[in-house]
Amino acid sequence: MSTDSGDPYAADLDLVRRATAGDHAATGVVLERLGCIPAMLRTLHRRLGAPLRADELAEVDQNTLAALWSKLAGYEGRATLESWAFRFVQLELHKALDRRRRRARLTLLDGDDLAELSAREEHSPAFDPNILHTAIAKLGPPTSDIVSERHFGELGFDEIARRRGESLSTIKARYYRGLERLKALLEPHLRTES
Amino acid sequence: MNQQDDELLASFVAGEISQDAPALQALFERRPELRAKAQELAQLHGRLEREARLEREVIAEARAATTDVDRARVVRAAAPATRRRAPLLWAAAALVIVAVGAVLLRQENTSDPRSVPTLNGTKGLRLVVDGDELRPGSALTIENASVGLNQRLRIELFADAQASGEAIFVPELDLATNQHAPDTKWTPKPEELAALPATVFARAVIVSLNSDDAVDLESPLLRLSVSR
Repeated sequence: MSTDSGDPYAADLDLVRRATAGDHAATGVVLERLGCIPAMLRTLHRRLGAPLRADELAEVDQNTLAALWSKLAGYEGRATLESWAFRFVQLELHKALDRRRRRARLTLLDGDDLAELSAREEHSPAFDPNILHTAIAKLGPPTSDIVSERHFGELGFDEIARRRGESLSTIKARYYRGLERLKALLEPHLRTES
Repeated sequence: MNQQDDELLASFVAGEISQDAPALQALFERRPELRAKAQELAQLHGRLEREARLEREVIAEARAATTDVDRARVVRAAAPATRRRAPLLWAAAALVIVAVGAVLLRQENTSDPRSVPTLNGTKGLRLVVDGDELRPGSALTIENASVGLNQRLRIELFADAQASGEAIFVPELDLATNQHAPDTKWTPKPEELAALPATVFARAVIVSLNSDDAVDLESPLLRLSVSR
């Protein structure tokens, strides 16, 4: 997926563009790579403490696939295809968990249920995934790309600098300033770190 | 602050240098207000690392745990997006409905009345073919089909994305109410096989007529070569 050119996701973007233009071979590759989506959902759900019932999880599965296919043409090549799909999985799962929490709060709960609800909320990530990636995108290029590549693209600063043809010092300075702005954007949404 | 200071702080935030590094100590002495801020950003960096690690681990684990059923479900979900581009011939050749109504009643009469269909058990819905090949004259047979009056039985075929490179979802050809096909077998004709890719996934399903064709039971997927 990663190429040695400046854009690590160019090959994935090209693949999706060909698929959405009707290229059957490209569609086949996209479907094969995204075949892991149901397993992604099961894995993430398990890591969050498996809070949903089987029927609720099945609904999330359907919603995720429906949302993803309807937005495939909107893939911009800012992450690998699998990472892009993972965010749909994460978003739909968290929407379902939020719905469940809202329902739980609207119901009279006994002490055990409240304790269980609190325990489950501890499994929640520090960020709402949608807010996190929206906030990174708000940094604007090239800072948003540097932050994404550093964390979600698993690239070191020196590799990012090499790919972008900029000095290491410039990349690091942009990253630091980007984090300052990101913190300000995320601050209202940060959950307490356990 | 200048770029050099930012670079130094980025190295600290990313864990490349410790807060005891002389250059960093000198900066904090010169600009003490930066210490707390840098520590907060180091924490944010750590949180981003954890989010990214979770993403990588889940994707890697999911790739290893993906089943043929998962792949088929993704292909099916993509159908509305790809169906518009599918040749009409595909639609015509796509799904064969094998039996309904009287057939199913006959099945019920001959099957073990205590049997409860399961996905994996010996009593479960099964699709059987001679060998691993779909060829003219060879029949796909559904076993252990116990279908109620408000249900119907189908064989569904899907393009195999991995093998053929063509992941066109094969839409359904609805023969569900064909009361004159009292059989649980489908024997493909040469022209039907000609419209299929080199490899297909096949499964038998029992769908509910009362809830928008929801699948009540499905057989394990068979991966079949298509021989013309």
